Amino acid sequence: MALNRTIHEPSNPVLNVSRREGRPHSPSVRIGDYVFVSGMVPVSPQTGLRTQGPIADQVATVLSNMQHLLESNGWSLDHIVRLNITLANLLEADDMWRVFRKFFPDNPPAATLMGMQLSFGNLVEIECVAYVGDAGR
Amino acid sequence: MTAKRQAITPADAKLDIPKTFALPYATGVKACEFIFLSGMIAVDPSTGERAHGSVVDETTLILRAMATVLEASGSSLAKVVKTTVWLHSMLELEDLDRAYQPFFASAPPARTVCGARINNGMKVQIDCIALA
Repeated sequence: MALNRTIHEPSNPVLNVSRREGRPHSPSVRIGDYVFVSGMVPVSPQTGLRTQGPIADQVATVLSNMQHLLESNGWSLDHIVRLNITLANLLEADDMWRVFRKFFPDNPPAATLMGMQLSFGNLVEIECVAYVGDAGR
Repeated sequence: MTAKRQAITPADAKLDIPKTFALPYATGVKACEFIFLSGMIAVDPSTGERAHGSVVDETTLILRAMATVLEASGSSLAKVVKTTVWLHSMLELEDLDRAYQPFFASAPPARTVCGARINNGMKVQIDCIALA
């Protein structure tokens, strides 16, 4: 069975960080009915600059940019099956979950939290896998 | 289209980590041919509380619980295609492998191990993707 790997980008070019900064990865890749979204860090949809505010703001920025990327391609946060959340500081886990709850108020996806060093002083990075079926074709 | 996520909830509530600790995510989600389990930590199967122990102890408890959760969903450890292991110290990789290997005796799944900090002082966290 041959499956086509297709690359999917956010419609706001400011948020297309991997392309804008010449990174060797894509914002998201679809294979069959699944979409794999690269790790996303908090970037302002207006300026494209990193938004280094409190963790709650950074998480909200990442998840709303993730929503934008998915919706740009005919998908939504509801299609996400699993997220991996990396925090620079695990002491901020409660604040992260508080914001997470607002984006996934009921029937939430699977998620894994880990604490690791992040580049450029980011406090959070989130990646996800979505099961989109036929949506967006 | 709004997709309905098909959450996997362990029959044994003691293994339902997000429920025990009131965290806003699912133990796992089934998406067509695959099951995605959230990162699991060691919990005492009789109380559901965190079971802090050695890397060997924690790994064994996690993989036993993972087997139970997968089997209740019609899958099994033999159908796992990929695991990610977060280990509090890469110096203990050999201990991880000692406890991990018996659960995947033949044709083990793909695996990534990262040295990372894990919440609440746990030493091991493991997630997986399995065939449904």
